[in-house]
Order: sequence, then structure tokens, then C-alpha cells
Amino acid sequence: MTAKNNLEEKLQSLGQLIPSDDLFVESVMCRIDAADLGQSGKIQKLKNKLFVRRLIMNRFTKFAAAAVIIIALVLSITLLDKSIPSAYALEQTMAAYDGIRYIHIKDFKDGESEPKEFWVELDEQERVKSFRASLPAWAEREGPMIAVWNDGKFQIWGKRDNVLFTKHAESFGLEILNLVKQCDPRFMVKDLHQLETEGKVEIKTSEPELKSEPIVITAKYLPQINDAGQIVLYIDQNTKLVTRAVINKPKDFDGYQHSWEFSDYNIAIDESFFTLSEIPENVKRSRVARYDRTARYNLTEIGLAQDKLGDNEIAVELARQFIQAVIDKEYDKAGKLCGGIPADNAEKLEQLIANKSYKKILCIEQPTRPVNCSTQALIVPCVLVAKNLRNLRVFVIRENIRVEPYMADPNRWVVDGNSIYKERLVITADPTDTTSTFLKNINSKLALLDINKSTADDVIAVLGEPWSYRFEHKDLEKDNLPETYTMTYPGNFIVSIHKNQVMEWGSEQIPGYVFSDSIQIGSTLDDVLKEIGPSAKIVEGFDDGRHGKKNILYEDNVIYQNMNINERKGFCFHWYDSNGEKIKVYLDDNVLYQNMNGTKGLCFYGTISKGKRISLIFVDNKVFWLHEYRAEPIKTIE
Amino acid sequence: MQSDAELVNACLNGEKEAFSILIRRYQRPVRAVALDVVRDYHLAADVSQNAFVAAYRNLPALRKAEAFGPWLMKITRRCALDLLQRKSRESPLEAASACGIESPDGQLDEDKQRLLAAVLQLPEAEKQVVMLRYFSAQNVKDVADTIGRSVGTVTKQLSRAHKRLRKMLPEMEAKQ
Repeated sequence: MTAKNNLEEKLQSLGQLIPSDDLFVESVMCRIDAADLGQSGKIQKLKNKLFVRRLIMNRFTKFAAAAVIIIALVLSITLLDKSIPSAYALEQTMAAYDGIRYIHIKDFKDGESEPKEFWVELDEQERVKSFRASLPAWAEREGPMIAVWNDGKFQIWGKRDNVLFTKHAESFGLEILNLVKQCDPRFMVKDLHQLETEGKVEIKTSEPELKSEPIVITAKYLPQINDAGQIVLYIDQNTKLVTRAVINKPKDFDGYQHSWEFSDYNIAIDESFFTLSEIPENVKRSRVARYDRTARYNLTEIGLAQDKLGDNEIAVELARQFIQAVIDKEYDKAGKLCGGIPADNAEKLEQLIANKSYKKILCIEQPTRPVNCSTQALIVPCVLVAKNLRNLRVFVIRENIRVEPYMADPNRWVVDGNSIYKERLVITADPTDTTSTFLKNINSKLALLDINKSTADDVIAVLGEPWSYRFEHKDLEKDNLPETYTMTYPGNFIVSIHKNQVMEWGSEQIPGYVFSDSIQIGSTLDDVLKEIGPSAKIVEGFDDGRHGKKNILYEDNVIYQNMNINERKGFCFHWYDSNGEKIKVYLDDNVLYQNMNGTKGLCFYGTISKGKRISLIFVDNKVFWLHEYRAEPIKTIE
Repeated sequence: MQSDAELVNACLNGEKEAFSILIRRYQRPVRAVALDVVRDYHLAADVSQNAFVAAYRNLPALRKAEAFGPWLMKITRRCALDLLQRKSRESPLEAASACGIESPDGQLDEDKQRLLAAVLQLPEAEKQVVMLRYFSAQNVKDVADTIGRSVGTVTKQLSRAHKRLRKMLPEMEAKQ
């Protein structure tokens, strides 16, 4: 065979492996038709019906998510005041579940006649020994499915595509079992009872006189915990077992109302029912090794142990460690913190998905509870300096990292990798900012910087590239900057840098930058004094040395603290005169220098307000110049 | 056989059926491009659908009707990357773990993966004729009609593509 023929054959063979069918053409044309008609609903239906297929893992995760709903909604139930006296107590139901080994659960969706069904067998320690789930076509885009867990083996069979997923792993099973466990009404009741004990729930109990009627427990979510509405549990008066549960407000994350029926308590189920004996011989077997995170790590390696930390503390610490690991390119660690994803995936996450690399954590804000989530999950806003890998531009983003207790071990918390990128907020400045747009956001941007720790790079990341770099009235090249220089921005806003550290920032003449939420260019002297307190002393007619009377010359860029000069202790800073000649001026803290240089209304006030060192110059008794300084000098001379 | 340009113009004149011919013609090339990015047959099917729908919607923006093929491939690649990115947000573990190309029957063997990657690295014109010739199973004349070129041109392009592939494949193998 010639090389040419060989290659042609290979190409033809490859071509044949790429599927092609008329149904595909039809489905695309249907979508086009629907799009032409503007029928978005139709598109969705067609999409669901036709070729939208997912990997088998998706099926599992969706199934798992469905199971989670139950516990998610129950966990933050609140207890109404017991306005209606009742002889019934939740403890009775908890006690009734002792010895219950089998249960059949039906999960209904409004408008669908066929429910999802779960059959569960527990062992003596109330651990899930076996289960079987039957998921109807409406539950999964990929069509009906059967899932089973038995004897350390988990399997899902997608009926429509005839695909089988199998997994043997005890650790993997732990996660699944935790999810299944959460469907069990006994745990709903236990959780409810726990929350009742903690005073976190409000519940109303109705106990009819007729023993054939169920006891009804109506529990409402407190708005601050969850706005998902209420759950109603129906308890059999004779057995004290839960027969039905209904979530009344359709605000769960599936977007529809849920109700469950619990039946066949302790009716033994044959072991064969927990196997997939019905799968056809020609079933396609899915390779799943790449999805199995728990096989890669021990449970104790995944996430971060909470130990004695509060939820907020562990959330912040976990988010911090995760981001730092990504910054440090410790992808193995990042992957473990992120629920056990492999290191190479964690690296890809950063580069492929985010298309950027994190450079630095600017701050981590207080976590918040996600909306419509009643689990312990928390959102941790992390303000980060990042670099765009395409255009190499440095910018600042707020990544909202979602963290939650790990399913297989609730004492360990993990980063929810799915949510990291959902709520990203880019805060960076646009280099084309004009004065008005720049100053509009200047305060929220500065809030991201710590004047005592920020570097020039941090400033650029937050404020963008300056209009110019200057020192002593001269423009400088960015590539050839001296140790000390000033970055100038629109609106007369400047940032002074020394040895790459921020020394001061502020503006003059143009309002925009606001100190302490109230002081800005244009504020009156009276307003300023009202805000930061009266000056200790007023010095009239001080000459700052601009007119030839040079004061004391000091070393550049050194803040001289607590200097004792002529028995005065205070604050020193410098100006430059019009010839570029340095003039150091010694001024006391908290002393208002009024009508300086013989000019009425020209005042200087240097002080420490709310722990921050500022200086103000007033012209016509209104703030003309407003600067904030680094609290700790680069170098201190006592 | 109608050329791509004729079919595109027919679509633009409201003959929607003409687009279904283009779908049949480019179904496999589009899936091949998608497959190369998303590495999964089912996802590639999703991407292919999205790409054709996007192409249809943006057809009026196509400046040269005869450039439909390469244009469609670019759209496909964009759709595939979008899906990958979206998927990564939803399920980073799954999306980021792609390595070999997954088919319903297992993983595509390395030779075929390499060949597919090599085809997709060919210059646009050569890539188009190779895909139409071998993936869409068109004969040389049909390929020529499709792209509005002479049979001689297509033959030369195929020949050049073969030569290039024969050079690329051992190099790619050596790199791996």
C-alpha cells in the first residue's frame, strides 16, 4: 500500500468516526425555525428533546443535587411560636424512626405525574446500606435513569442512551450516601429538632382529634436565614412517622415546588432490587476514572478542617488559602481545597477558564450566606489583583468564592469549584478614564488599597495606569523610574511612591476624593474641624518657608517622628519650591496654621484622624489640598 | 451540485432549505472542529448545533459567500471554546479534566487524535478540502463545486495537504 493510500484510508476512517445523521440536521433546522419565530420556549424544549446530551457524570451530579434540595430546605427551617398547644413533639417522631431500616421516597414535581423514586435500606447504625433511585424523563435531560448503590458499588444506567456508569470506591460512596441520607425523613426531623433546640426555627403544629388525620407541622424560614418559604411535614398520628413533606414556596434552586411522600416503612426490600440486573447486554460503559476525585485523595486531605473555628472564620481562611495556593501555583493544594480536583485541573482552572492569573490578595471581605441557600454554604468575597493572560493587563477583581462543608465530612470545608466564576466583578479602572469617570469611582477603588501596605503595582491594578510619572516637575519614563516619584491621575489625583511603596495620595482643587466619608476638596474649614475635632492650637501667620525662609533640611522621604526641635514634637513633611529646590517644613500635628504667609484664608492643618495621617491646605478657608499619608514611614528616625 | 456561495445566497434570499444542505455538507467538519476543542462526542454535537444556528443568524454578516466553510469553522471553534468556558464555570472538574477525545465507545485512539489535530492545523484552504473530501465523503468534483474552484485546484490542494500531513504527523508523534 502506498503512503498516499495509507493516509487517505486513515483520513476516511477518521471521518467515519465523526457522527453524521439526518436527525442532527432536523434538530438544527428546528432550532433555526424556532429562533426565527422568536419562540425561546420552543428552543428550550427542542434542545431538551433532541441532541443535548451530557456526560454520565452530569447525570449523577444532577441527581445528587436533587437529593441535596431536601436537606437544603430543611436545614434552615425556623420554628413558629407554638401558639396552638399540642401534645405532639418532634422527639416522638425521632423515637419512632428507631428500628426503621427500609423506606420508599417519592419526589413529586408540579405538573408531572411520575415522581422520582428512592428506595433506601439502612444498617443498624442508620447508615445507608443500599439504595435505588428511579429518575423519570422529566428529571433529566438525558432521559430516564436508574441509580443504585449496593455493596460498595455505585452505578447509574441512562436508559435512553443505554450508558452505564460504574464506580467502586468506599470514599466515593461516602459522598453519595450522605446525599441519600439527606432524603431520609428521619434526618429532616432530626435537623428540625436541632434547630428548634437552638431557637433558630419557628414552627406551628396542628394535631387533629381524628387519629386518621395526620399531624401537620408547618415550619417557616426566617427571611434572614432563607427566603425559600415554608415546609410542611405530615406525621402519621399512629406511627408518628413522616408520610409527606411539601415545600410550599417555589423558590428552591430547581425553580419548582417539591413534595415528597414517604411510605413502605420497614417493608423489607430484596437485595437484588439494589442491583442493575435489568441492564441490557449491549449497554455502553462509560469511563469515569477522570471524575473520581475521592479516589485520588484521602478524605482527610480534602478541604480544610473546621476544628474550633466558626463558620465565618473557616470560610475566610479556606478562601484565603485557596487563592494563595493558586497565586503560589501550588495547584495540588488548591485542588485539594477545591473539593479534591486534581492539581493539573486546578492549574487549568486558573489559566483556561479564568484566562488570568491571580497575583495578590488585596483583602478578603466578610462572608455572606448565599440567597436561596439554607445549607451552611458561605460566599467569601475576595478582592484580588489579577493579570489578564491575553493582554497582560493588571486589574482588580472581586471573586466571590463559595465554600461549604464537605459532603463526606462536614467538619471539613471545601471550596465549591463550580461557583468561583459565577459572580466575578471586575473593579479595575479603565485607562481611558476621564477626570469625571475617574473621580466618580475613586473612593471605592481606594477602599481596596491599604495605604500602609500597598505598592505601586497595587495602585496601578486598582486605579489603572497613571497619566504620567513625575518627579520634581519632570515627566519620567515608566521603564526608568527613580526610587521616588509621583503617579499623576485625572482630576489632580496623585500617588507618591518611594521604594515601590505608597507614601501618600490625595488631590487638589478638583473634588472627588473623599476622606472619612465627609472631607473633600471644597469642604469648609468649619466643617473639617467639626468632623475631625478642634485643633489643639491655632498659629497665626506662620511662614512656611516658600518665601525664602527655608526651614530645616532633612533627608528625603523620611518621616521624622517625635522629633524634638525647640521642644516641639510633631509632624514633618516637605514641599518643593518653583525651582525644584527642596524645602522641608516642620509643622506640628493637630495645630491649625491659619492665614499662612500673610495670606488670609490660607491655612494648613496636619493631623491624625481616625488613625490616619492627613494634611489639608485651605484657600479661602475651603479645602484646596487633601492628602493622606502612610502611617508607618519607610524609615524612622527618633 | 450547488456551491457554498450559491447556497448562502439562497439562504439570504429566504430559502431556508438551502441551509439544511449546508448543514449536511459541513456536519462532519464542524463536529471535527468541535471535537478537537471539547474532546467529547456529545458535547461536540451540542457545539455543532450552536455553531450552525449562530452561522445561520449571522449569515448576512458574511462578506464573501464563498468563504462560508472557513467562516463556519471559525464560528464552531468559538462556540466550542464558549461552551468549554461555560461548562468550566458550571463544572470545572469535568471541563478541565479533558485529555483524550471521549466517544460513546471509549477513547479515540492516539493515531486518530493526532491525525485530527494535524488536519485542523492545515492552512484554511487545505483544511476545507480535506474535510469535505474525507469527512463529508465528497468526491473531488463535488469538493470543487462546493468551494467554487476547479477540480485541478482542489487536487493540488489535496496533494499539498497530504504532503503536509505526512510531514506533520511524525513530528507530532515525536513531540508526544
